[in-house]
Amino acid sequence: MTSPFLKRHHEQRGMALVIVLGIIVLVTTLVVGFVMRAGSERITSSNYRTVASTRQLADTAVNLVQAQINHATTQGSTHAWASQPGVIRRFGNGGALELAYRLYSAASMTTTKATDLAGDVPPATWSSSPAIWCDLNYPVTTTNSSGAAVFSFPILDPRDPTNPNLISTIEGFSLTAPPGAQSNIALPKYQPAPMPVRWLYVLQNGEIVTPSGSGKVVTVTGASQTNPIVGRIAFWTDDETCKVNINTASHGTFWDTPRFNYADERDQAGSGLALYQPTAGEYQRYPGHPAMTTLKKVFPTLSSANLFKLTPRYDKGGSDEATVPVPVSPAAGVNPNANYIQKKTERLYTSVGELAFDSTRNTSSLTRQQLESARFFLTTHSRAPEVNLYGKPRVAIWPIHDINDASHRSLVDKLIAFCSTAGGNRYYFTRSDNTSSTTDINIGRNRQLLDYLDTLTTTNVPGFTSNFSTKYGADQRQILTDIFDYIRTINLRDATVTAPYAIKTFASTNSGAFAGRGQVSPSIRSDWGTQGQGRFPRITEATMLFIGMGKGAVPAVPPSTTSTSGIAVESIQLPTYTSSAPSGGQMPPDNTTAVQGFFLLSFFTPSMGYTAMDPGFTIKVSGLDKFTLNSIPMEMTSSATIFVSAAKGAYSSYASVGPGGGIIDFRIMMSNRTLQNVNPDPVTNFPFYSKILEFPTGGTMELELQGIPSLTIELYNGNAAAAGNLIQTYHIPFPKQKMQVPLVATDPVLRRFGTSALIPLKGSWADSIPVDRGSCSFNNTWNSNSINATNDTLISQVLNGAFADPRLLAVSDIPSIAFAPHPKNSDLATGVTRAAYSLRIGSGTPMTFATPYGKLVANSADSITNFATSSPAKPQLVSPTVTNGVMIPGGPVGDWDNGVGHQPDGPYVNKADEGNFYRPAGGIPYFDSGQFETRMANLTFFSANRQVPSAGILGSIPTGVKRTKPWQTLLFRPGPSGHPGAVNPPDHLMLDLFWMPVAEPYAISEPFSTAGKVNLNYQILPFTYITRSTALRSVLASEKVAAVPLSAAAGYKTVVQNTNARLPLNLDEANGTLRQFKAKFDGYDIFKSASEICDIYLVPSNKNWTSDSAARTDWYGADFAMVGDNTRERPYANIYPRVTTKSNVYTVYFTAQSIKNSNSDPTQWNEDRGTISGEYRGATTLERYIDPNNAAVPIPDYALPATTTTLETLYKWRVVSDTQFAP
Amino acid sequence: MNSHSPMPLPRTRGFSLTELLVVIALMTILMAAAVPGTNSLLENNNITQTGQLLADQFAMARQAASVRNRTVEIRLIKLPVQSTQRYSAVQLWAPDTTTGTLAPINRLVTFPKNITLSENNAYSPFLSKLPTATMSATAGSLLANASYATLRIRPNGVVQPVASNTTERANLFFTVLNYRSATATTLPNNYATVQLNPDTGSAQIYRP
Repeated sequence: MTSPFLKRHHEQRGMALVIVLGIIVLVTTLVVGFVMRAGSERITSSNYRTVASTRQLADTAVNLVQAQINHATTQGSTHAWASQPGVIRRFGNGGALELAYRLYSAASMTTTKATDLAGDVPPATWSSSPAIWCDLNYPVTTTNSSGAAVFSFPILDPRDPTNPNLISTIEGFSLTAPPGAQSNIALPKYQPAPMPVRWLYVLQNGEIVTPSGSGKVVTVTGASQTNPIVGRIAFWTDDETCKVNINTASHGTFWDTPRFNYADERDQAGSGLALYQPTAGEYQRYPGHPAMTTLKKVFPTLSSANLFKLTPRYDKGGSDEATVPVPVSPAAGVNPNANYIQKKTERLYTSVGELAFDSTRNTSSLTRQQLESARFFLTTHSRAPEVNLYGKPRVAIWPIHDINDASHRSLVDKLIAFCSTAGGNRYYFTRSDNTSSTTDINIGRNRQLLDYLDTLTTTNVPGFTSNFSTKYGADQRQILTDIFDYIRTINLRDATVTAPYAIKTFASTNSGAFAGRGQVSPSIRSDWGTQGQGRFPRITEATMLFIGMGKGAVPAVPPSTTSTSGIAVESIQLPTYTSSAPSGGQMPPDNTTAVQGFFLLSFFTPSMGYTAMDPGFTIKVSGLDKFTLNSIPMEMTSSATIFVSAAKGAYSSYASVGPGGGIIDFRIMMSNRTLQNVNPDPVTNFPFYSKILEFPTGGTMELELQGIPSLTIELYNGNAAAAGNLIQTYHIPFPKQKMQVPLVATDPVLRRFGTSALIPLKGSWADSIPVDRGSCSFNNTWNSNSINATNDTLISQVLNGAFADPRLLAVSDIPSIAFAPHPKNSDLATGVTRAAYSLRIGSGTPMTFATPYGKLVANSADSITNFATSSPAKPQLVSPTVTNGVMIPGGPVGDWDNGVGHQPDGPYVNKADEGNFYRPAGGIPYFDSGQFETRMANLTFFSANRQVPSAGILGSIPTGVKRTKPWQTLLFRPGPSGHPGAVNPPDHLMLDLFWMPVAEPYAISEPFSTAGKVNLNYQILPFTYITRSTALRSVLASEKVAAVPLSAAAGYKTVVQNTNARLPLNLDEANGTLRQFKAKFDGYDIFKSASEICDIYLVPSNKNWTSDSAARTDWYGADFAMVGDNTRERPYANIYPRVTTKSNVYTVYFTAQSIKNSNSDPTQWNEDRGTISGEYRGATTLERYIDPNNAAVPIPDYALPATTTTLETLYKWRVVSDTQFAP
Repeated sequence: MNSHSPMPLPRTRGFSLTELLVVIALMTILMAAAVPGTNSLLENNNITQTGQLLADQFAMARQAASVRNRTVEIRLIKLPVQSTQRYSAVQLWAPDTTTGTLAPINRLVTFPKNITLSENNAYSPFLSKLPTATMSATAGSLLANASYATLRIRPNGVVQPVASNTTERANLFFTVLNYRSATATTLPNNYATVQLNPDTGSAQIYRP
């Protein structure tokens, strides 16, 4: 019988089963539900992982590019680097390419031969090998709201904004047979601008491998089961400096200091440089300013008004593209130019797309398609490093006062000082005393910086051959001293501060109130033995003037004959005559003329330009007592000193009229002075005269300096001949020379001699006697007839030979070979002429009958302004009838400068123009200002960036001072063959050592970099079929080249010419300015330094130059003969600061894909069978920068020779923008 | 003789027939009372689940578009529900990254039983604006000749086709409800609405 217990158990077990089953069902339901949910979670997380890994792959591409750039730039100071879209190259000494680093995915990331880069152009069949090639520019098709197909290109949209079937006609852009392109928009796979690069496959352990194979199946060596292929990347890097920066560019209109009397230099509407000047705030007309780069090449349909609505910091107005003139000036001291442009303070753009956002900025109705087409040509972040080829800081060429306070430094000064300071060390020169030769150059940091420049110029230039010390010898340090002095002479009268630099004067009771103003004493560095140019008068001529004081009776005339004045001769009471100071009553014997001699000097300052200069200096002449006439001592003073200055009074016409410097009116030595040679007062007396001697009327007399070889003339700084003030010593010989006895002008005889005061006799018979015009009346009413070349006798010694170029006078001791007899001296004996001199009055007009001789330009017509200040034209061997123009010895045409406005051309040093917009009623600035501009108190005319575009303005600094080689200056242009400036290393590499920070309208320059520069290397690698020279054309668009032909020589300065003196550029690639660029890029070469722009011929629009030799021949031929060195180099000075060959900002375009290789062979990838699980296309913009205030890694003082590292090692990276291409 | 045993016999526990019957009768009554409630509970659950499912599918489409960098199609497919073709399934399609031909990227996801999208213009205004097509599946399979409406999401999240006017942009939503109210003009009490942001593709569910 079964136990009830067991029975119960069975039931209980059965129950348990049911319960368990129920629970199992429940749990199963839960699990199934959970698994279903987990399924979608798994997909989601797997997707997320793919996203993350694809992003990482993209970052790999960017990091690769960063590493390439790092490696190329940090190899030390003997290496130079240069960048272009797609490639960055490193050069060693001697200029050879060391390594080219590819910044795009390729089979090999570096190469040592530039021509290898030619092989990277994708083949026409690239689209059939999708496992090898990836088109980075493949467009994405979307449909817009009306259902039409819209193509979005990630990199380059080449279509015309108005007609998508056509390629864009933006100037400088072209597509030349792009490989494998599909240009029919109706067909599938439409791709007019393919940009294919190779895939690089990434393995699981991070290795990046180049595939081999073709078509759809490739082999990736190194992959295995444990290390499979996980992804692939393709990338290309664009150089942001090859695009126009919309923050810094606007639309430029040309301006330069006018130098020719042509309508387009004067007052022609739309171009007149003198009358239509830029006003304050009109940066789009400041030469060399980034605002001169034009946006119109990228937006050709936009009007100027609309374009200026887009620019954040520039505005239309001011002279409004040379259509609004400078107003007529009201009373002196009042600023006539009230229509300046208000400061615009809109936010800068951070991306090109922002152009479309703000409607108030964009009432220009910029269409979306226009913006799409322009995107490839525009940027908002382009910066170029301000680091020289040695990898060390550049020295700023803007002078800043040594005292750092508001009364000595303006706001712009402070900003420039900030940009040029690194690690607490300043890299700019300071100045404090224009009246001293030693103060400024001995400021501690100035010396260190000069020593720094000295070290750099004695080291071989990286990327090029040799160094400047080898090239120039002793002149290397002279050039640096001259550069230092040139910088000192910039911005002399800055009225925005209360204590500007060059207003210290030597005013005394009798000298002019402004004596010394605008003058800068030449710097003397004794340990180098060099002296700078300064802005200081140099002696160019020494003249002895002999006048007939009176003459004795000629017996043929009966004593009772009435003179033409109606006074009987015998009734005249005659003054007595003693040696040099007759007091009355003496008369020379019959047939004898009384003669008195005076010693005159003529001065010249090479630093000519605005602002005005009022000379104030001391000269001491010794040795005059050795002068004899016919062996009779002339009893001149043995040694005397005078302080030469403008006469007392508000201004003096004896100082320089108009701009300062240049030729100085010779009368400055005599104005307002009285004769006195016993204890003469340097300010009020003139001591250089002889006693009165008697010679046979109509006879000859012989001048001789007996016993000494030459006169000694010492030139002193300041108003005293103190030892510490000595600038230089001249030794001027006076070889024996016979000359005619001077004539006495009126007839008959008037025996009147100068009294000690040499004023017309008063209170006696002299009142009614007309003044003899041949007499020397040293009084304020000196006029242009004061030298009577018909009657007076003059003999001169003038600068000769190499010293005919007075820029060579910047030495402490001028040898006697510097002076030679005036060419007309030899005619004095025969009487062919009696006046041999080249004295000038005003600023260049010669004295009546003065003999201009020598020409700057061979075979040019005579013009009072076209002649050298002294000395025969061809210094070495000259036949008087040959007029060869000034020449570099043994070489080509010499370097001379055009003068400002009407001023004569001559051997100037191209002083930075401080401006002139004084406009008298009925006249125009620069040409008609006279001296009035200079006296307009409290006005600064040009701000910093307008005065100095770049170091290119140093182009007229002489390079042959120490070695006595004349007429050669720094060559910042393609030179004539044989110019010494072209010898390695070319002069233009000096530009690389300096920079001019752009401080206006905002801090476009930061320490170590400047925004908005355009890269000269516009070739795009590996896509050489895409040409993008638009940015470079935007830089060149607003420049003009001067063309003044030989045929205009007679009137180009004096008669208004109605053609154009300056022409815009021909930018053609076959026969214009871009020809040389194309030739260089066709050979896969690039520019290493931005200064190489100076090797490019700037072709004017009316010329076609198809080769370098044709260009050189024509540019140095008759069509451009009257264009001086400074005017030829000016466009280069304006272009150089806006171009670069290095970039700090790059954009990496990439496509990254995560892939799953399902092939049985892990090293094989089959495009058809493998899975692409994720893709990421985008662009990252990177910037390399230096943090000037990095406390962790302080910046060392590179000026010290002990510092051997370069700035390149301090660069850090930041990501400026990171965008995905997912339209 | 001992009459008490040390271990009492276990009493047989059990339920008598009467008790069982009474309990069963009670249970039947209770269940009968609860069934309508269960129905609506189940339906509630289903609608919530469908709303969530639809939102999930949209999210997955958006993510897939971003990952693959391709435009993804969301196909709202009509399948027979109680003998009528109603929108009751979703599948995501995208072009293959190498060949470019369209292929599904997930399995067909069907809505729970009897739940569909409203086809009324007031409650799923966008449905009528979407392009429709027919699935090309093998004959005989569930999807053969099934029609579907297409919504597209681009890699940057933008939903197409959406016009730019604000009314249409705000009307990008679908209502999920019981199949009986699929064409009704008044909204039932039990529904869920899934709205898509036309610019980012993100979905939001409204469930009263």
